[in-house]
Amino acid sequence: MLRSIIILTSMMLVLTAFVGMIINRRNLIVMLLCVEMIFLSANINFVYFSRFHQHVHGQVMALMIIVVAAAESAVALALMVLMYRQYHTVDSSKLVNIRG
Amino acid sequence: MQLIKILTISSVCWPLAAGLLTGLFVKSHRLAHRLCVLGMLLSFLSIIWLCIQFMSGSQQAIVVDLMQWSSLPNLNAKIGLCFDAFAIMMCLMVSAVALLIHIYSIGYMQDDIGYVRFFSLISLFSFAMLFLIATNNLIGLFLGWESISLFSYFLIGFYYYKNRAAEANFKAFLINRFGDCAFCLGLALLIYHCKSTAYADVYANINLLANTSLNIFNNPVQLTTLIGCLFFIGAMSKSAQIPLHIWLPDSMEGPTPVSALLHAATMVTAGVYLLARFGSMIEFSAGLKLVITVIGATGALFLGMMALCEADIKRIIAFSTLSQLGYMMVAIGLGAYHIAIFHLIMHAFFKACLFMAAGSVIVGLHHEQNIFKMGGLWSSMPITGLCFFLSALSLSGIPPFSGFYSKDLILSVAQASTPASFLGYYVYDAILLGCLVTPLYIFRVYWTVFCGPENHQHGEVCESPWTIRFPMTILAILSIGAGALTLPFFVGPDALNIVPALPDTSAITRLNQFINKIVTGGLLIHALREPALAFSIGGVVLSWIIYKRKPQWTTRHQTWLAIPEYILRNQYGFDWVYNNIIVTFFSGCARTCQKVGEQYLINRTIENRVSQNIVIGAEKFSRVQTSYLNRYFAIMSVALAGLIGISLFYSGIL
Repeated sequence: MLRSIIILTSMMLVLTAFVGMIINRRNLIVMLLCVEMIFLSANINFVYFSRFHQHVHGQVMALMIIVVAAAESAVALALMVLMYRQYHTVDSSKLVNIRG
Repeated sequence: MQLIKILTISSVCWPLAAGLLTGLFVKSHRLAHRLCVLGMLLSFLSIIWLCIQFMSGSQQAIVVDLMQWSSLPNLNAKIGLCFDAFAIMMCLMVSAVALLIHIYSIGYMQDDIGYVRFFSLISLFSFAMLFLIATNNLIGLFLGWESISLFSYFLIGFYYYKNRAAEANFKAFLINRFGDCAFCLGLALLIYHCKSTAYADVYANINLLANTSLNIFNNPVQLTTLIGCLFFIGAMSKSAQIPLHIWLPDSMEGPTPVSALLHAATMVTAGVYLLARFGSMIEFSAGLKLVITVIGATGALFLGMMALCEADIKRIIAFSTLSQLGYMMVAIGLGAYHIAIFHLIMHAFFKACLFMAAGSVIVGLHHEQNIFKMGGLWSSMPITGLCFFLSALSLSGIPPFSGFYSKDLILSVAQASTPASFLGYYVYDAILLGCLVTPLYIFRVYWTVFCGPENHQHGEVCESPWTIRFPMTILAILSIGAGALTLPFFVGPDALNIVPALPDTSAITRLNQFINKIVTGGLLIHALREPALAFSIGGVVLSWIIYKRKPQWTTRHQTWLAIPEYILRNQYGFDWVYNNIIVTFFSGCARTCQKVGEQYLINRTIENRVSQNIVIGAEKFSRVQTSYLNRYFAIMSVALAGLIGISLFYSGIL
């Protein structure tokens, strides 16, 4: 029972993130949040299965993912700051330079 | 031993070092000529030292191995230097003339914008020529041969901004390429059959080559004949024999020191050198020898005659070079290889001197080359005039100047050993008439330029600086005395050793005995009995009458002189044939290729169809780039889901 609740939670989290990513067409910060959510759902899985298999590697992996996610969001936020300086907006629909 | 090795290498490599240093790093004019003259001087001194060592020692060839060129099995490919009597003689001549011309160029090229480039190139050329002569293997021969073509190309086109120079440049290189092609084939055959690149192995295998034959169009051809023919074609292009001579007159577009060094004294003699070097191979083929003799004799007479209608002083001397090269070829063809070398060396001295005197006149008259716009220069340029006079006498073969010895020997040999057939008589008569023509054209220049009325508009003409006068004087002295001095080396029982590995046939022995006999009996006494000397002196007198005493003679006989003049001015139509048949044919081929290949195949098919379709496709495909991040993401997630699905399906889980 606990297993299915946890796996369902993580699935819901991923799906929410995907939907948020696809239907939101402008706001870059929301996109970043969605990406972080995908990371989190993966983390939940790791921690749960580490407990399930009685093995510590999964939790170590989760810690590492948190670090990587932090670094990744730092880079993404920095890019957004730069973009704001350039275009005075964080609207992704304004990035049309490579449109074919 | 170690000293000898160092000397041998230094005799060749100083000009290379000087030329490279000058070309790459030097900017100042003074440093450039100092470096190059120093390099040439060191090389000259080393060669003199080697010569002394050689003469005082056991007269064994000095051989130094430099490197292993390649390490193929069954092929001995070492590169080395070898100073035997032949190489030392040639190297002495080349380095002496090159040194004098380096000094001459200081005066002649003064204030030229390409001064440093000129010195670098001429030093590198000297290196290439010395290397060609001193090397002891076919690879070195090939390297030297090709590099003198290359430097000749650079030097003819020295004034590359002049259209005529660029064209002459191209012509010379193209014709030399044709000859080099045959030369390379000959080299390849030789290396293939001797399994070695060393001269010594080639000489050792000559009999084997003579007994091997190759089928060409189902006719067995002796290998010595075949290789000899290929080498002769190479020599024809380099030594400007009919019909590949047309590049030499045009190459006079280069600066005068270049004409003196490359196109009179050294580079054009490379062909004669090659044939003499492999005289032992040519000796096997009587037919080839006859061809060489006939071509040489034809050139000696008819190419010399072209000088009679030319007005450009340098081109006149160039035609004279063609004629003298013909004499050398005759000597080669008759088997008198050492006499050919004798004439080659004497010719280098007086021809370089003639060119230097011509250059001095050209400098004095501010680059005027038409002899009819000169005249009366004797009073203002006495030293130049004297040098020109002396070397012209030497060229004409008047005793006791050096040209007399070599030319008279060639004529005596021709008289004694030309076959008693039509061709034999033709050869002898042609070179005999050549003796009449030579003084006629060279003294025509002399009387017109130095004597006679003044025709130039340059006011006060003064003598050239010492850098021009000094080398000219030295060469004039050499063209007076070198013949008598070096005669003992070229006749006598040891003379045949000059040409390496000559077979011991009766014809050659007989020839040498004949030469010894006429020399010991007094060459002058022999010459007085022969028509050749009378022809030479008659030529001088005749030219004095025609061009000095009665200059109106040519105008009075204009009507019947018009036809030969037309023929000579058009140079027997060689240029016409080349331009209208060969050039037209090949440019027609090129134009067809351009039309079919480029315009039709490439432009129409590839450019119009393929490239346009690519452009259209790319435009369509670029619509994928919508720049909506969420669409990218959707595509990515669908693709990811698909991939996971496929992998699960194939691993049997789904």
